[in-house]
Amino acid sequence: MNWFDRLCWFVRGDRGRAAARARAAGPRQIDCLEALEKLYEYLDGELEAPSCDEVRAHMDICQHCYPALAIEESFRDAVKRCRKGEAAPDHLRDQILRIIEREAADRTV
Amino acid sequence: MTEAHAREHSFREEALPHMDAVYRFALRLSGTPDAAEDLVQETFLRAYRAWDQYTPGTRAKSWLFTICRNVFLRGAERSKRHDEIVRRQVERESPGPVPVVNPVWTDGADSDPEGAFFAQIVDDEIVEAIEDLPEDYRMAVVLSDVEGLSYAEIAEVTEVPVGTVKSRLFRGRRQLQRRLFDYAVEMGYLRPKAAGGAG
Repeated sequence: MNWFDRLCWFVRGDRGRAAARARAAGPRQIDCLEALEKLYEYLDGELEAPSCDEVRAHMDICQHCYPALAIEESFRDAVKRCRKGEAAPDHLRDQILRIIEREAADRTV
Repeated sequence: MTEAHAREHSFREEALPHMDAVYRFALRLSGTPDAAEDLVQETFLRAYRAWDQYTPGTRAKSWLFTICRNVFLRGAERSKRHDEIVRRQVERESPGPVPVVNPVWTDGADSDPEGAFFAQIVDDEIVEAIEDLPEDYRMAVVLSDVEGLSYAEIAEVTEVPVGTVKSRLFRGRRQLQRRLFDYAVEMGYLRPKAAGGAG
């Protein structure tokens, strides 16, 4: 099976193995489905402990989920580039300062 | 006199530094620099007049975005796009389920498992793709991924529950990624998985 087929099989099918592994280990290990369902919240910094640690731990060890994490991070880096080069034009800045000053002057009458 | 000066001073210190962010947001909402400038001027004027109602130390940026969005929603520019917005909203009334496994992860995984193709897409194309998103998705994605607001802050600015913010972010990002992925394939930045190909 390729990576994708394996992932789909795991997500659709056998959760028994995940449950057995969780019981054997100490801290709660989560499966790929849970990690991927929480991926956006994790990347957005909106997950609190213990969920945050559980997702991070899963991503550290799971080679199936690694492409998902890497691609989402590349996507975010690309979108953040939109911030650069779009500053308010100088004339707009001046206009707004004048508006504020005029408002302030009106109020002191 | 002193009080007025203090007011003006604190406004300059706390609100004006966010002008670039508000301008960017206004551009994404209204689509043209001229409309964006009008929107930004109106936003800061209203903000200054309402400055007494702003609690110092809270997030001035979110507060300004809220005002900007409200001015936009009431404004003339929006009514020009009204039909388009209604059409898109109607299309979205019954959105289908979105799979947990993002097709974009798998379509390019063989040739580009780290999504390096995103880095090759020029800024203009990314901006255009964002501006083509339906308005609700666009606002959520811009406020989160460009301006760094939290779910709670976005919920406040857009006046919807946090659950709705998450849903719009989820769908908006997926739609944006699909659009950028298709563009990357068109430009030859990566080769997609062959249709029906052996894994």
